This record gives sequence, structure tokens and C-alpha cells, in this order.
Amino acid sequence: MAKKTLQNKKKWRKEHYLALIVACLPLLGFVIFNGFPLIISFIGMFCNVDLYDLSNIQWNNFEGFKSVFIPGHANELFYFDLSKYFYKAVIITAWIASTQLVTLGISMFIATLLHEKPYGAKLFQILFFIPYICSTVAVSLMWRWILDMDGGILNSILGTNTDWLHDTKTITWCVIIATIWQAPGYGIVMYKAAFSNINNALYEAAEIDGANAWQKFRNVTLPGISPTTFFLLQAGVMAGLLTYDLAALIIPDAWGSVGGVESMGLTLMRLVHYLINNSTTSDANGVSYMVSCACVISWLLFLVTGVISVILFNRREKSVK
Amino acid sequence: MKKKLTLGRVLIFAVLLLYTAFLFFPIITILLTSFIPSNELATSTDFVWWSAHMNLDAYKTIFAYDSYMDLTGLPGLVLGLFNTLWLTLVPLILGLLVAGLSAYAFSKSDFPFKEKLFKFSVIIRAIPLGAFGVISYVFYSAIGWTGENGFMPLLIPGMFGGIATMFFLRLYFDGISNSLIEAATLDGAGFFRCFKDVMLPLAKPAFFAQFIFGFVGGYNSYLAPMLYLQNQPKYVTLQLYLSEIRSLFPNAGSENIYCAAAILGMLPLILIYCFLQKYFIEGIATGGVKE
Repeated sequence: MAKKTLQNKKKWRKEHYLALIVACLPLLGFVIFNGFPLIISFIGMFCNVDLYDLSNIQWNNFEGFKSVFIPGHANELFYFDLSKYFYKAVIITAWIASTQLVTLGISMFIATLLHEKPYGAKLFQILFFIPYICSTVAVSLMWRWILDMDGGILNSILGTNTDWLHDTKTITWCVIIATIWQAPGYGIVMYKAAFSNINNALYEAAEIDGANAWQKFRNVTLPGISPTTFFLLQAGVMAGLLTYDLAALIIPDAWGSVGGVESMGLTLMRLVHYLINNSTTSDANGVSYMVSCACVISWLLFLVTGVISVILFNRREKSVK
Repeated sequence: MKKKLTLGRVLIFAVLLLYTAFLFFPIITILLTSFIPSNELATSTDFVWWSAHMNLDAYKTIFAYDSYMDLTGLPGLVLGLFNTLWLTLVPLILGLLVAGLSAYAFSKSDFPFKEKLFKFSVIIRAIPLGAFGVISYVFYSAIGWTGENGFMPLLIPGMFGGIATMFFLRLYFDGISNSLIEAATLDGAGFFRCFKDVMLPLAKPAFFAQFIFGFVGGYNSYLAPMLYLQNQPKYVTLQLYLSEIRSLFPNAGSENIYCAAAILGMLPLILIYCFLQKYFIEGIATGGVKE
């Protein structure tokens, strides 16, 4: 308290105000470039917003919500049933996000093996990180060629003639396999660092108590790395829920034509992009409603990612203690 | 001390080798295909493992001619690399300086509302805003930063320096003793002078880690260029070019070109990574955990 009153009495000079301005710059950028999209998309949920004239905002009587959630409602506004695709996208997105658990498992497993200091551990770690720095575009080109029906290496090896990239049964697996190929590198590095931070004395104590390898892992390693686990889980689930790149690049034409292929490559972010993109390129009646629907889906994603973040963050804080 | 050769250790080695094979099998596949002549790819319905006429034609084709040539005289890949570099480096370097100055102010100097502002930054930073990545288009289109000006959303926000970067640098600055700054201040150095001559050299590793983290992100970024620059051929980025490669070379048997393009797209970062792998791993590991 005494400190505070002292601070209040302090005389601020020019250089202090300079420091204040400089210190605020990142915050200012963040507020401008995230705050305004947030506000506009919030208004957009309830109103039809004219993208080229922001003064033209009209209450739309929850049409955006209705079109997204009520099956068949969008038929009157657009030329397709949005909610059908929405529910489909929810399932696919959840599916892709849940594969982050597989990524996490692989990361932990490989990092555990690397921690045993096998021959060439250093070289292995260097190699394992390479997929992570490859661009998703190049990675998708790569997987599209491997999974290609005519001339792809997978069909040649398996002796099959499956159209992996267009068969509704396999299409989402294509995205998942590419994710699992690319993502673990980051987790391996993080886990490796977490392992080396665990106090060796704990292992020695466990050894004196007669713990076997599994018991040591279960009671010393796992609690020791749990902050990292929660961090990776949070980042991974977030990335999974917001999947756009890989899905759009590996299965580019699946969603492009509505009413065409009953695709499985549709994530929520792709749906948002489709709605935005269509509203700027066409001038049909339902255009502003499309933006409204895109806002609704974006806010829904925001709330879901927010809740998951808070839960996992709290778990992580607890595990640190 | 030499370690004993036990069954367990051999097994671990075998599993790691298997995982390496899984990771590099796709890369080697496309490397192989990139050398196979087009006519052999077009006529075969099976994967072409080997050819007696392996050549570099696919790579030559990429640099020889595409529709981007008419625009600037540069093949798409080169133009893309050039655009990617300036669109990544300009905001990254300026943003790092701004974030560095801000971190320096928070760490080493005093100003009104300092504690409150910092707490506010911590809270606001914790909100996960990724879900607005696409819908932000609505905002940028409303202020006219799309179409011809589509490079602005890629350029301007980054220049303000990220809050996360600022937190990271501040943590590093906190570990640097105040006495050097005090000595410099006594010698008459002002706020900016202290930052430039004392802090910047001392905190080089921290800046470098953030630089690598940002560079990899910018180089590989696809969503933002796709949203804002898709129909602006003059501003095509490397990743946009790669995503269009199929429509640029639509002929049958062009798979070798796609594979060559993917290889060329990955190569720069992989090469840089090979030389600086220690910094890369540190940069990404520390850059990721930003609190």
C-alpha cells in the first residue's frame, strides 16, 4: 500500500511517457487487429453487414443462427442446406482434432526412446524435426502424389486400386495421416526438454524403493512432464479444431461444388471460408446472410476453443504445483 | 564409458529407424518421381520406381516458363520466393524491434500504469483468437485492405510486434543485470540508445530464437496469403504458387513437376535448418512456450 501511494506521487517526466507509448505498441496492434474483427463478427451474427459500407447494418432476426442450426432453414435463403454441411463439418473437425491425441502419444513415445540415449540419438532428433518445418502446401502436394489413384506409390505397394482422395470412406484419413506425419516433431522436441528437466534424484529414489521401469515412468516421468502434456494438448486440439490448410489442400475440390461430391474433407474453418468467399464473389440474395452464418460459426469455434483452453490451462497450472 | 549392447537398446534403435523410414519415405518418393520423365509418368498406371532416362527436366520446366513470366519476367517460383521473403522479413524485423522496445520498457524502465498494463496484456494474450482467422477478412475488406491492397493485412499487423514475443523478450531482459543500463544512463544514453547499444547486443540469442520462429511461420504460411492475395498474381507468395502448381501445369504426366516444386519449396528451410539446427530447435521450443 505504501509503495502504491509513493508511486502515485512520483513525478512523470517526458521519457516516462515515451516508455509508456513504446510499451503499449504491441498491445495497441493486438487490440486493433483482433478487437475490430471481433466486434464486426459479433455484430455480424445478428445483423446483415454491408462489407463495403459499414454504416449499412440491418437486424436480421437471427437468420444467421437459424440457417446454421435448423436443418432445412437455409434452403429459402441460399441454394443449399447449410445446416447439413455444418453438422457434417462439426463431426469431421472433431475427428481431426481428436487425432491430436495420437500425435501426442507418438511424440511422447519417441521422446521417451530418445531419452534412453540410443545410438545416434542426436541425429535422430535432428531428422525427426524436419517434417515440422516443411510447409503444409508442399506436404499436401507430397501426400496427394503418394495417395494418387493412378501411379501413386501406396496403391502400387498395396496392389490395390483405391481412390484414396475421393472415396468418402478414406478421404478424412488422408488428412489425418498427413497431420500425423507432420505434427509430432514439435512434441518430440518439447518432451525431450521436459524429460531432461526432471530431477534425477527422483529416479534414484524410486530405484532404491525398488520401482521397475514402468513404475518409474508412471510415478516419476509422467507427473514430471504433465505441464508439457497439457500445453501440447492445448496447442494441438486448438490447431485441430481450426484445421484449414491440410484439409483444403489435400482435398481441394471436395467442398468446392456444393451438391457435388458428398465430401468428408470439410472442416469448420473451410465452411467459414466458403461462406465468406461466396459472399464476395456472387451477388445473390443470400449474400449478407452468408456472412452472418460465417460469423456465427466463427464465434461458436471461438467459444469452444476458449472453454477448452481454460480447462486445459487450469489443469496445467495444477500440474505445475 | 561405452554402453553395453543389450536387447532393449537394439530394439529402441530399430523402432527409431522405423520411424525415420516412415518420415522419409514420402520425401524420398517425391524426390524419385521428380527425376522421372513426363512421358513415362503419363503412360504408366503404376508407380514408376525407376527409369533409365532420369533427368532434371521437371526442375528446368519450373524455371523455364509459366504464366507469371508474362507479368514480371520472373517464373512463379522465383517471384513467389521474392514476395514471401519481403512479406515475411519486413514485418518480422520491424515487429521484433517494436516488441523488443516494449519489452525493454516493461523490464527496465518505469512509466504510468505499468503494472496494470502488464496484467491487462497477460489476460488479453490468453484469449485464443485463432477462430477469427478467416472471419477477419470481413474487417480487412471493410477498411479496404483486400484486392489490390491485399498485402496490407500480411504486412501491417505484424509490425506492431506480438504480445507473446514481448513477453518472451521481457523474460530474457529480466535476466540481464540493471547495472549495465544504469552505467549507460549515467554516461548520458537515452531510452533508445540504451536499447540499441546495451540491450540488443546482450539479448541477441533471444531475438534470434524469435526470428527463427517467426521466419518459419511466415515462410510456410498459407491461409493469410490465400485469403488476401489469391487473385493478385503480382503478390503471389511461394506457398500460393505451390498451391496453384497443378493448374499451372495441367498436362498428363506432370507429376514430376509437382514433386519437383514440392522439393524446391521445402528445400530452403531444410537447408537453413541443417546449418542452424541447434538454434532452430531452441527457437521453436522456446518460441512456442511463450508465457
